[in-house]
Amino acid sequence: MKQLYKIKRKAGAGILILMAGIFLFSCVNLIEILYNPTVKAGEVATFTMKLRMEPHENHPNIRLVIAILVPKSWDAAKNAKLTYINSLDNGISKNMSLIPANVPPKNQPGLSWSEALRQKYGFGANVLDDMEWVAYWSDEVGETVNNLFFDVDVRVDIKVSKENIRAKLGFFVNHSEDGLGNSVDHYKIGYTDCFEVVDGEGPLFDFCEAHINLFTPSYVTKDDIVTVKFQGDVEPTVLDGVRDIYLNAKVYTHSGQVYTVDERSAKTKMQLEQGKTFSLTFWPGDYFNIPADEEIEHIEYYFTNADGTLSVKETNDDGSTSGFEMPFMCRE
Amino acid sequence: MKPICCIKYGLVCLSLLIGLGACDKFNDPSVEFTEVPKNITGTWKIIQVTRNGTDVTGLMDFSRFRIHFKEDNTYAIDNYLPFLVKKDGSWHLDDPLYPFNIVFKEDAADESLVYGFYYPVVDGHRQISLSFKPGCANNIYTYIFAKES
Repeated sequence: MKQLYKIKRKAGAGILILMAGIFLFSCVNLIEILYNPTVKAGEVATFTMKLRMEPHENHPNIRLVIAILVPKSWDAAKNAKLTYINSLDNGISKNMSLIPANVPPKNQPGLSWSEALRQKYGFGANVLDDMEWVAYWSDEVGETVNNLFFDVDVRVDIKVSKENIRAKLGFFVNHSEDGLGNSVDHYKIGYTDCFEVVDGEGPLFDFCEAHINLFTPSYVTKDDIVTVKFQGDVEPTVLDGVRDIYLNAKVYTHSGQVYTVDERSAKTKMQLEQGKTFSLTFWPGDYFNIPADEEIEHIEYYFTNADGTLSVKETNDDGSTSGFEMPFMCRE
Repeated sequence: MKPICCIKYGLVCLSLLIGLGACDKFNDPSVEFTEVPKNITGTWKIIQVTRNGTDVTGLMDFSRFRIHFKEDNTYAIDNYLPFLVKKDGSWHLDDPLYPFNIVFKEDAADESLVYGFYYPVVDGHRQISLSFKPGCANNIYTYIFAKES
């Protein structure tokens, strides 16, 4: 098991005491997250959040809240199970359930927990946005008791998808009486290092590291709106200093047709976002003029300067270069 | 003690009278409130687009798209973009007073398509917000429309 980190200092206070039906919340500490750094595609990954609870107040009707940031393709709402054990509770494992979408955090009215966490933390340090926050609370409703400290182990079991994925997963702890309030004493967040799903199907979706190219969303058809990015800040390229960058692309359809857009024009000119990052957003069906009865199987693309003499492509293992590839498919 | 209690009750009674007076005014029969049917006929243009919650309005040219809701309950689209219907057809709201859904039926289609309908007032003007999935089911797009004419 990999120990992500340890917090030696007593951070102010999240405290949750779960004892014979009594919760004691006040100061919450996320001490560490234990996990294996890899899991095989389609299998169950287990994470353990070690919590230290130091309640400094009495409060009725409180639930422990845990949220996880995971790839959407894992469908955590269906495939994750959360349980917890309180050190004062004789080793009894108790269940947690999804927080209904119509129940907002106490201090974030109008937002679901998932929306509020996304607004506050985004997608953590991940470079792709195809992730989601999924929030749970303890089935048991209790009350806080002052100065009764205890430890809680939260176990997260989640069956991962069949895709090859690298991502920095997020783990958040809070309680219902705080509900994302102003004091971090009542909530904590931690992330794994780059967690990897191996031996899966299809291309690697790398949420951890930025690459010179980026294609979003991860799953698309010709009727989605897609964004292609050239991220020149990631590494030096022949296009360093070039202010006008163009997309060269062709798509292959399931019926065997190839449609190419190989021109330097307003249509293919990429917008400067910041630094050396350029993007082009388009509707593939229109961009490549795909007939209604054809579907795209995959796209190949690369980046060029205005006269096409300089280009950035993918470098293969044998040193040759080719276009970046992206399949067009939907999640099962 | 007795006089004090009388004073207390007196205050309570006065409060009730004031309250009742206020209620009488609120219920003045000369003031009638009638919900107005939601009239969306006209031409609407896109003013904001989100993809999976991220604003992409400025990343692509959405300015030429128009949808015309006509009084005969037909609609027509100019300069099509990925949307909840592809062909022209007919439309209606599920409830003209309190609509929760808008119903589209493309010409020659067998089935109608029902989508959640949001009609907020922003800066004194009505907008229409429609969410849909024209490609993969995991990609949700929301178009917000403002009335052009």
